[in-house]
Amino acid sequence: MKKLLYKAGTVFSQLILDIVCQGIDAVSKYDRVVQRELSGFPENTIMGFSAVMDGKPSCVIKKNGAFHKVKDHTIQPDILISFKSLKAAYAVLLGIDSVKTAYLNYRLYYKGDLMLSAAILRIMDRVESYLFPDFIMKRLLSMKPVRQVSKILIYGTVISSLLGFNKGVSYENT
Amino acid sequence: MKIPEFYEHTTGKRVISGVDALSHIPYELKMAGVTKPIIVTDVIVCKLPFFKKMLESLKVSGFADFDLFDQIPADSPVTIAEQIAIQYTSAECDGIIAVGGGSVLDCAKSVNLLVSTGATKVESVMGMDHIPGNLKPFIAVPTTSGTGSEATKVAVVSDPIKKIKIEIITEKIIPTVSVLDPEATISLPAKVTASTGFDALTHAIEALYSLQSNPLSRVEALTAIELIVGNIENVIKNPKDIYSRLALANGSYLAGCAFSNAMVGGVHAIGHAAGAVCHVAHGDIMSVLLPAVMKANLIATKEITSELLYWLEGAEVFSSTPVEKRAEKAIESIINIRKRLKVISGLPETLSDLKIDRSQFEEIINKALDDGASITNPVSLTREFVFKILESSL
Repeated sequence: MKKLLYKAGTVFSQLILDIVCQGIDAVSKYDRVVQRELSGFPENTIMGFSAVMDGKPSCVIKKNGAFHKVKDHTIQPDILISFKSLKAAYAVLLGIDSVKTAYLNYRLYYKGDLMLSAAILRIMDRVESYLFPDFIMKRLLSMKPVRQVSKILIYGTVISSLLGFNKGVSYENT
Repeated sequence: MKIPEFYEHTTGKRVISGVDALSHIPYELKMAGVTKPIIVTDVIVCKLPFFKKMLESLKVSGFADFDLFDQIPADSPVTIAEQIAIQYTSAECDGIIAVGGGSVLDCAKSVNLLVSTGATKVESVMGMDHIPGNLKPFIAVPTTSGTGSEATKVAVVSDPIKKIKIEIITEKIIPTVSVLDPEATISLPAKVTASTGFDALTHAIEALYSLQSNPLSRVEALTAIELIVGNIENVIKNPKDIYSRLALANGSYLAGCAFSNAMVGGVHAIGHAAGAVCHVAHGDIMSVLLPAVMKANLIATKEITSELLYWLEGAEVFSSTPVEKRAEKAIESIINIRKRLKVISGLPETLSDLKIDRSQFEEIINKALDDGASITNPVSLTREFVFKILESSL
């Protein structure tokens, strides 16, 4: 039973991470600060998030100045960010900890170019500021980022993607 | 002090500290099950008397069959690490001895990752906390008292083709044995001793107030500060003073333990950037930036900087200084140490001393904000924050 619950928790967390990746995709399309951060990333860099170490990651790819959600979960990302435990994943996905706090508390496993880690954490700060309600965001982030577009626009873009209007790019097309 | 909500801490596995510590290397190799080590070093170290003595002791102790690579250049290029890994495998070595400064030790860490994981490219093993399994036995002999690489889980190597730095953070690369022998640092010139010593001091101070600081790293950092501050001037005035050399080596090791876990902060973020843009010695830029960053961080670090005064100046000065003035006095103490080191060794105090001017600020700021060390500074690094520090350090 415990094994089943763990499995269910992993699947649930990965689903949320899929939504987070849709969020990164949406925010990077509209937010100039994120776009500026992305200018330092090599073209076609794939960044993946996994709820557990051996899980299949949800990925985004940097292309033409923005991140795009990647459809398939079987690719090997250039940068893989994974949680060391499912509880650590819950804490971030439920807005108890920010990604930066998880990083500072050694709750994450990071494979890939660490020179991009500062920029990634700043991007995630901004993504969190769009995805989470303000009362959570205030608690999570020490400095409140100034949002450049409305949260509704980001929510709308994420929801339309989830409904299938934006299916993401397939790895073969990259 | 406040206990962090959650932390991890890893210290070095084994330290041998003292006169003739180098003579214990054959014993350590035997205990680790090594029969044929590869020794990696650079062209300068391999000519030093202590190194020759170390090779002799290996030869007479049943390790005459060792392999040697003595051409590691500065900045540890990945190509060299990959080349050494091939040499290691073809010579059927089963352990590594690295003798040198930070570049040599970091290069050896990369070699160990390659030969232990079977990877052929350093790029494929970069990351943080990501390497499973155990690595090969690895003995580190530092020849400077500064980088702390002999204690850390961090390795930075360069890719000269892509013109990037590759950073690896994993406890697996911490040397199996660190050998702190004063003879290994005795020929270090005064200026290099001051510069690398200030680097070690910066490691300890930044680790003390880093966002990843924890109770264990604080103990290491404070002891490191006491040892470095108490001995650095004497080592420069009396370079053959074995006791002070050893104390400084221990200080550097402990500072390495502290920052290996707590990481560093703004001084290193801006210092790495200035080093890349202006090609200045790492310890020199640390000495220029440390007081300015400490001042700028005071908004978040007043309490711990106040405590620092005790370790810098002793109980008498600490108790006679009003509580609200202790933090400023601690920074003043650092500035005074730097002033004295400038007189006896030529350590730089300002950016102008390093021939860095305002025209280079923009590039330095851009690089500093992307440096990994910026993540753990207690005050968020912004363009304005970095600019202010650079301006005040001119």
